[in-house]
Amino acid sequence: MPAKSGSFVLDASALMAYYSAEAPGDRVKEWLHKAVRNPPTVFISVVSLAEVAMVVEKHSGLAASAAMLARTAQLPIEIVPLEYDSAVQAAHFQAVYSLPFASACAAVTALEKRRPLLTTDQAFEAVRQVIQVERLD
Amino acid sequence: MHIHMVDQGGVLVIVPLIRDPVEMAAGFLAGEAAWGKALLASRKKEAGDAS
Repeated sequence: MPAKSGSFVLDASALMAYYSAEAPGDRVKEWLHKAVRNPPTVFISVVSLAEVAMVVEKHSGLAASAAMLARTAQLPIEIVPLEYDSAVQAAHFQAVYSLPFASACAAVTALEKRRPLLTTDQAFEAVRQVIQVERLD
Repeated sequence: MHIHMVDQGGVLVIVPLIRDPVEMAAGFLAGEAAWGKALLASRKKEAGDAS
């Protein structure tokens, strides 16, 4: 349980819940507070972060998206770059599990970091046999 | 005041460095859109386009 270990990978949907104050966002905030005392224990794929930026820009404009990125830079979250091998693994996940590419990158990050993936997206049920998925409902 | 700057596509955003960023950033996009639904809709659209 991430609440106990305090170490996990955020899917874009979990970060979005935190920024939008939707129901599970309070749990993400609580774990981020814990991470302040014990960094770096929270990770997010750079592709997941870009996915959030895209959605925010699409609905609220470029300035809102940039503000979100600036705030994220101040949080106790390590942004994981996408390397060649990880991109290839994500392409494999996308093909096998029918995940969108950004979701596949989140799953690969959880696999490589050996941490549970926090998400609100039930599509990750498909990869439960490969990674630990923590659904925020 | 200490600040943090982000250059995104030519837009410079200046954000003050704050004492408790976790608390201050929580919910800062609240009310602007149904963000969770927007994200999941985007994913479903991408999955649909790919199939």
